[in-house]
Amino acid sequence: MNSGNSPRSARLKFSLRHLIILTTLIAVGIAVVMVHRKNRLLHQQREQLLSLSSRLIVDNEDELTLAAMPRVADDFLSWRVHVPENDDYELRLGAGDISEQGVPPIVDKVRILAGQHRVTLQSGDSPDEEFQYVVYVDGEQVISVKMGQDWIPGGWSSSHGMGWPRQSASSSSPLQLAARSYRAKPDFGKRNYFNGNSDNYVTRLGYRLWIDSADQTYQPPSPLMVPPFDPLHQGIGLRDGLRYTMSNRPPYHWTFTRPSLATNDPMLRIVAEFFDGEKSVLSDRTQSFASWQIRDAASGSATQRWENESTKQTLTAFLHASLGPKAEYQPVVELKWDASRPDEVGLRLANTPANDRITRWRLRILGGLEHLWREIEIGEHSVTLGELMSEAPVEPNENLISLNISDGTESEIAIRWQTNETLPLQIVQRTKQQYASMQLNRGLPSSFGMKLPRSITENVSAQTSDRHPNLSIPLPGGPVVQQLVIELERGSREWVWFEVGPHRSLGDHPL
Amino acid sequence: MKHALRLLLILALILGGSVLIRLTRENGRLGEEIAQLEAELGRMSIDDADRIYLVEIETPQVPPEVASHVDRVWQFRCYIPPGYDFMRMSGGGRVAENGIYHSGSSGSSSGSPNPEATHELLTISFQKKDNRSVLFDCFGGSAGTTSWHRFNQEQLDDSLVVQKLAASNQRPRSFDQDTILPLLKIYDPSTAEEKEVAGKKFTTYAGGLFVLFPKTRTSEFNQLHKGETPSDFDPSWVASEVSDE
Repeated sequence: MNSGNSPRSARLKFSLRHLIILTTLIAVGIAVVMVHRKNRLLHQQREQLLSLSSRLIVDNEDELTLAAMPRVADDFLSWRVHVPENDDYELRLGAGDISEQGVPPIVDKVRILAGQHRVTLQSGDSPDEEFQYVVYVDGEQVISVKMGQDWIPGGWSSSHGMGWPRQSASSSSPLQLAARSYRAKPDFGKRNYFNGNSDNYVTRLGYRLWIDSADQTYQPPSPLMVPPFDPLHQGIGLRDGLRYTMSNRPPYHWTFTRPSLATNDPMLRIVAEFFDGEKSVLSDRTQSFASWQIRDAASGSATQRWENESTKQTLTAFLHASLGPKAEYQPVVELKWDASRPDEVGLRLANTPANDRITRWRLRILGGLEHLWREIEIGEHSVTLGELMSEAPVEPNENLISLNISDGTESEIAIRWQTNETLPLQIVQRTKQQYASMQLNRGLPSSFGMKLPRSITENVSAQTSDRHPNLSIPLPGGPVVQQLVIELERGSREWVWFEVGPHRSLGDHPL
Repeated sequence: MKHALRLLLILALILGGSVLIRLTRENGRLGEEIAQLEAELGRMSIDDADRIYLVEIETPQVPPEVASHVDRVWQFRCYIPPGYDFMRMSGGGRVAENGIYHSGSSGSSSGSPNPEATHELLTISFQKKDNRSVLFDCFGGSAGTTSWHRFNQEQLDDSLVVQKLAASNQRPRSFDQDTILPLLKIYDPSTAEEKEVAGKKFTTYAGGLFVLFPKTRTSEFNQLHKGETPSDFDPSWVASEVSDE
C-alpha cells in the first residue's frame, strides 16, 4: 500500500480503514436521507389522521386543552378536555346578551376536576324546546337550563358561532367550548322573507359554554367600538348604535352604519360644506381634498391611544380634513357618541384654531332614494311629503322646499322623517316589480331624526325628487325627499344630533 | 491534518448514526400511532391522488349520552382529491332498489372546491324528532339536516335494506371524479309500489338516500333522480353499492 515518499503518492494514500469509514459515512448519509423522508411522510400522515380523530393532544399539562369530537347529531356537540391541576376550574354556561365582545351572565356552573373529561352540550334551541341547554360531563348530566319559550318568542332565522372576546384578558386563559348568537326571526307576514346582515359586535341573545378559573369574573362589555377596531369595515362608535365607517366611495361623505338594524348598508350619509363668510372653503367639489382622517384629538396629526374601558359610556372622535400641508382651511369636526343616547350621534365644529375662520357650515343628509323618505315631522307637526309640497313654496330649479322651523320656542328644533312603507324595503323591492332596479336599503324599517340648536340653525330645506337615476319612469309611489339641507351658523360649540332608529309612527313619540 | 480529517469523519459518522437512530425510533413511534389512528379511522392508501377514496369506520365514536338520542350512525373516512367540486343531496320519500331515483322532500348543499387534497370525515346519522325521521350529515365541518318525510320507521332495524358505497369489513374503494356516489340508501322492502316514469316501470319503496355528485354531472343527476335516463347514459356514471347490511 505504501508506494514511496513522493508528494503525489502521499496525497493519494488511503488506508483500508479510511475506505471503510468513508463507505460507512456515505451509507449512513443515504440512510439518514431516506429515514428523514419517511419521517416527513409519517408526520404528514399523522397530522391528517389527527385532524379527523378526536384524540386529545396535551402539549402543556398546565393549560386547558380540548379536542372536538365528530358531530353525530344536529343538537349535540362533544369535546374531550384536559383540565390542569394548577387551579380550581368551573364549567360555566352563560346565556343572555352576547356579542363578539361580551360574556353573557352565567346561568349555571359546575366545578370540573383536574384530568381528562368528555363534555357534551345538548342544545334544544327552539321555542318548542323552550331553549333548553343540557351539559354532560363524562356522561353525567351536570347542567340543565331552560330559558323558556319567550326567550326568543318567534325563534331565530340564523345563528352564528363566535370566538372568545379578545379584550377580556385574565391571568389564566379560559377555554371556550361553544358559543352561539341568534338572530331573532322578524315577522313580516307569510312570504315576506327578510334577509338580515350584520356583524357579531351587535348585542343579541345567545350562549357561551366555557371552562374558567373559579375566581374569574367579567365586566359587562363596553358599549363602544374604538380603534383598534377597523374603521373601514367595523366602524367606530356604538356597537349597537350608529358607527362612523370610513368610506372610499365617495371619500368626502361621512357614512354611518347601524348593523343592529340588520344591515351593513350605510344608514346615514352626510355631506358637509364649510364657509368663510360667503366663500365656500371646503366641499365635495374641492379638488385638493384627499380624505377625512379620524383621530382622537382636535389638533395634531398623530392618533393617540384610544381608551376603551368597559365602564366608559361616551366616545369622542375628530374628523380632520386632509388637504395637504399648505391648505388654507382644514376644518375639524367633532363626533360624539353617548351610550345613554343609543340611536344618536352628535356633530359640531371642533374647538380648534383650524376652525377659527369657519363662519358657517351646510350639512346635506343624503339617502332619500334608498330609504324612500315620504313622511316628515317638524316639532309636533307631522305631514306627508304631498302635503308639504302643496303647502310650501318650491324653488323652481332645485325642487327645494323650505321647512317651517320658526314655530316653537324650544331651544332645539326637532325634525323626524321616514318612509311611508311599513315593510322592510328589501321586501318592497322584491315584491313590487316597479322597484326592482332601485337599490333600496336592505335593513329593518327605520326612522330618522335630528335635533338642531335653534340658536345656530338658519334654514332647513328638503330637496324632492320624482325620478330615480336608474328608472326611466316616475318614481313608483310618488316623489321622495331626496336629501335634507341644513344651514348652520358657526355657533359656540353647540351639538347637532342625528338619529337613526327603528321605524315608529310619527307623532306618537316626540323626538 | 490527517488526524483532523480522521476525527471529522468519525464525528460525522457518530452524528449521522445518532440522527439515524433517533429518526428510526421516531418513525417507529409514529408508525405505531398511525396504526392506532387507522384502527380508529380505517386504513387507506392513496395510490392515485386524483381519485376519491372511501372507507367506512367500523365503530364511530358516539358518546353514550348522545347515543341514546340517535338511532343509527355511519361514518366514512374520505380522501377528496384537489379541486373536486361536488354537491351533497339528501332526501326521503320513495326510492328504487337500483340507481338514484328519488321522489319526495330533499335538501342539497355545496361548497367551494379545495385546491389541496383533503382527508375528511363524513358522518350520517338518523334521529327521530317529533315523529319525523331526520337525517343529519356532517362533512368537513359543514353540517345539515333533512327531514325524510314519508319514511316514518319506528326503528332502523334489520327489516330495512341499507345500501352503502363502502363497508368497514372491506377494503377502501376509490372512484373517479365523474362518478355519482350514492353513499347511503335505506328503504323498507315491505312497501313496494310499482311506478312508471318516462315509459319505464320499476318498483319503489319508502326510504331515502344520501348522494355526493360532481357538479359537472348536475344535469345527469337531476334526470336520474327523477327516474329519467340521460342520453348516452353509461351505468358506470353511478357507483354501485358495496353490500347490503
